[in-house]
Amino acid sequence: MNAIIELFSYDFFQKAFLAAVFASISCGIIGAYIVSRRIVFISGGITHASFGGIGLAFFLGFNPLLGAVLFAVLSALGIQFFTKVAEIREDSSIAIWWSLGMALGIIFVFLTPGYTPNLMSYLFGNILTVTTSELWWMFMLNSVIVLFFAVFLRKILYIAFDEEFARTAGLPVALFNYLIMVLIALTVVLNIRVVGIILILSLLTIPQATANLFTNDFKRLLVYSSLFAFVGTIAGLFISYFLNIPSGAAIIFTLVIIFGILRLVKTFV
Amino acid sequence: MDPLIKIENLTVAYDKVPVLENVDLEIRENDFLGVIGPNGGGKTTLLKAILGLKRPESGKIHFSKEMSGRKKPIGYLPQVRDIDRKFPITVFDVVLSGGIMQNRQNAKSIAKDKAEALLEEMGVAGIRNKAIGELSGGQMQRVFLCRALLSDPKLLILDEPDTFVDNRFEGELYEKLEKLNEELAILLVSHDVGTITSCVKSIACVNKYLHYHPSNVISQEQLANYNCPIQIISHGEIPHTVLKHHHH
Repeated sequence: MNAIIELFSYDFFQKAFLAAVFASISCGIIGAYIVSRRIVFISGGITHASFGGIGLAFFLGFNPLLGAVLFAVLSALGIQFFTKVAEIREDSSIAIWWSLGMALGIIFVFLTPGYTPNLMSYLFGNILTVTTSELWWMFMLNSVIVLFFAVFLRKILYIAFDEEFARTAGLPVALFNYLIMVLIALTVVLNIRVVGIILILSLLTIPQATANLFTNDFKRLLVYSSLFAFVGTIAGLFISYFLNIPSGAAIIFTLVIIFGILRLVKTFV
Repeated sequence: MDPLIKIENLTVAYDKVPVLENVDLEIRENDFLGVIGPNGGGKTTLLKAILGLKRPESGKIHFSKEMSGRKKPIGYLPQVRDIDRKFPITVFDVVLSGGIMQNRQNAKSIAKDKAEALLEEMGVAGIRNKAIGELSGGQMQRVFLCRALLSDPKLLILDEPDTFVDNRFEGELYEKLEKLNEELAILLVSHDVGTITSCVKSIACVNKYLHYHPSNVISQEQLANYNCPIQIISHGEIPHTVLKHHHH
């Protein structure tokens, strides 16, 4: 116990704790939406495409997160464009953007002179190295997401459940879909530092699957998902510190274990 | 009295292949129009065009004054098979989604009271907190009917409300619709031609083209002239016609 209290006196651990809180809220809410709407694969595409932006940023020497945002939003729009305008099947357009982003990322990183030490932390995440400015960005994103979902909860829910009916009811369906797509892109990018590109999909789906064991109410799903994400992230953080293993992997592993145990408990109790 | 909706020379296409061609139709107050026709004949497409969900290739859909505006007073019950049954939403929230955008004062509490009353009326008040995926076919249809009615529509559009339901509920549904018809117009798409002819006032046969029959009885000669590829098996005390299957 003393060891845990002592941990909180370290600056890096306070930051990591805050990052865990922010990641849990944003991924909990956005993930619950993604899972309910069955757009997990799109989110995976956006996540991986953002690697192209990180590579570009390394190559040209600007902030990698900025590059990631650029590519995430571009791929989100690109997937929509390929599907709706170019009439390519949706899963195929997702796969195209997914792999295009990764390929560009690898090319840019290869062309960048010298060693890129941070690359691993973008692929696999490292919550223990999150910076103050990144925390501010995460804080702002969280504020926007919480506010947006609090104010428009019913409209978001109705559009997500039955888009056609929502259109007949006069709701601005396209506008909402577009706005939430941007929020998904931002959530993915700003949480890359916590669990990394390769693992972020789990923070968007595993706590939600766990929450879904206990509720079928959309509002509750948003809250429970954030709570389960928080428990898993914090526990994973401690495990990572004390066992000295990578934090992203430890967090995901904890999330899966929590889901597995509760799923079994639900079956046998 | 102007018709609520006047459709003129409407052509709707998917990927340039016309599904509906040169359709004319009027829907007036207190109409109870049954839309019948083969699968893929364009019944649902006609509804989607009216609801503004599908842009027509050519032709016009005029709405009367009371039907115009961003939120048209149309209640819509979509095909249940298009609904994601695993979506985390409660029955009560589904019903409430029918009343959003009413910019009146206390809109929220009015909608909630109305939703309660409708659920009570349809006999499904007991399942209001259940998830949508836990319902039977009949319960689902009732819940979606509540949602369609929440906004006090002037026209009710139902797309095959008799799928996944038992005979008893079907009877109850048509009784309910006949009663609702005293106050609003109804457009009912069904594959069960026999049952709907017992309650609708007029029939539109849709198979790329639309043929309008101003009564609920169609004779075989009429059908032969119109080339409607449908068969009617009717029963009970209502005047009925039994038709042979024929090809367009």
